[in-house]
Amino acid sequence: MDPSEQVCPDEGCKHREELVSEDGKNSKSVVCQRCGSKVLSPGSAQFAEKELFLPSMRKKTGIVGAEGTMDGDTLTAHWLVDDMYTFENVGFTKDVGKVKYLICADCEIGPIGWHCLDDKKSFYVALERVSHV
Amino acid sequence: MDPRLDMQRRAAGVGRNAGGSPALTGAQSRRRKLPPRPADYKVQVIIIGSRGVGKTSLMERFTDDTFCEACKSTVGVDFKIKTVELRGKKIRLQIWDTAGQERFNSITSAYYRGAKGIILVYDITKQETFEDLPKWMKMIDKYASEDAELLLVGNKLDCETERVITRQQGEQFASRISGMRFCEASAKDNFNVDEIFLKLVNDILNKMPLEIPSRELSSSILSLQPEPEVPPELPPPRLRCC
Repeated sequence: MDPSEQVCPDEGCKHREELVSEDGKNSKSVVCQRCGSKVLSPGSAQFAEKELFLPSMRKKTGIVGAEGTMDGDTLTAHWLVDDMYTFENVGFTKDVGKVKYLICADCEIGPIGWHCLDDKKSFYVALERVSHV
Repeated sequence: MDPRLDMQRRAAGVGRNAGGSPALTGAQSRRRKLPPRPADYKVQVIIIGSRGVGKTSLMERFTDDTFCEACKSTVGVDFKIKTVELRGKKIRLQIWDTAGQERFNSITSAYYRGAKGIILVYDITKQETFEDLPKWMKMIDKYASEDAELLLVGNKLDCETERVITRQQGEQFASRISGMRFCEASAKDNFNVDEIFLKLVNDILNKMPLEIPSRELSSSILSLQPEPEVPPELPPPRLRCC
């Protein structure tokens, strides 16, 4: 799967080069798609490729579907942060197994990101689940 | 609002601009070529109070039915990191909303102990939520740090016609507790909500030493592992599904 296919489907920032600086960091602010709440300041996160399954953001019913399956996407392009205090604003869900999902701190939509409790220094925010300004 | 407080609003709200809180354009960040300014302070805040007082709404800007409620209602929110800027300093708050655990002794001591700020909420239209306050104060006295800043909030100001607790009653309660501040708010109308956090942070800053050792806020809190100092008679923190 070509990771660049998944980069930021909205707002005209379609190309990874616009979003990732020379040193691999986010050149723009990362904000919530819905309410614009600022998640990350420029230069505070590293671009990383990792296949992660994130439940769908736009379903009204629970994240577990009718047959017990989860509706969602496997996303590869992420912003990686090693310390949760690097975030400007972000919410954490309660545990789902060993995973906490990241959500918008202000309007609580999500998941916008992923964190596994086994790795305390990795917090992922999916490029496709946020906007860049 | 105190004009001395240099409030920088985060970019939030449909259609609202990214106010004073800087969302740098690509051009700006290229020009600056500076690393992002890290937070100057990290502070833990908890929000406590009886069921139904609107604690969670204080933390939430707005709801929109077209978007997924799944995360929030089926999985539940654990805590949030939020940033406020005050007196030129950037402060990261780690905010624990104890919704779903309103039985007084089910909120574990771990929540109280690390908190530098405690927001105690009651509902101005519900007598019993005000009468519960002394019980919450007992928990605070027992488990919270002596320097935690306390803020009493009378919520649901938008329901003025159903008010049963007067502003004076709230003020009186707060005045009897050393250092406790008071305000009324409406999460629904978003009145005074930001001010609550700013007021609290302002009081916390007044007490802070210049440097906060970051090891105080290790990410062990994230997994709610029992800290070594937990007294043997208290159960280890339990994560509960809301």
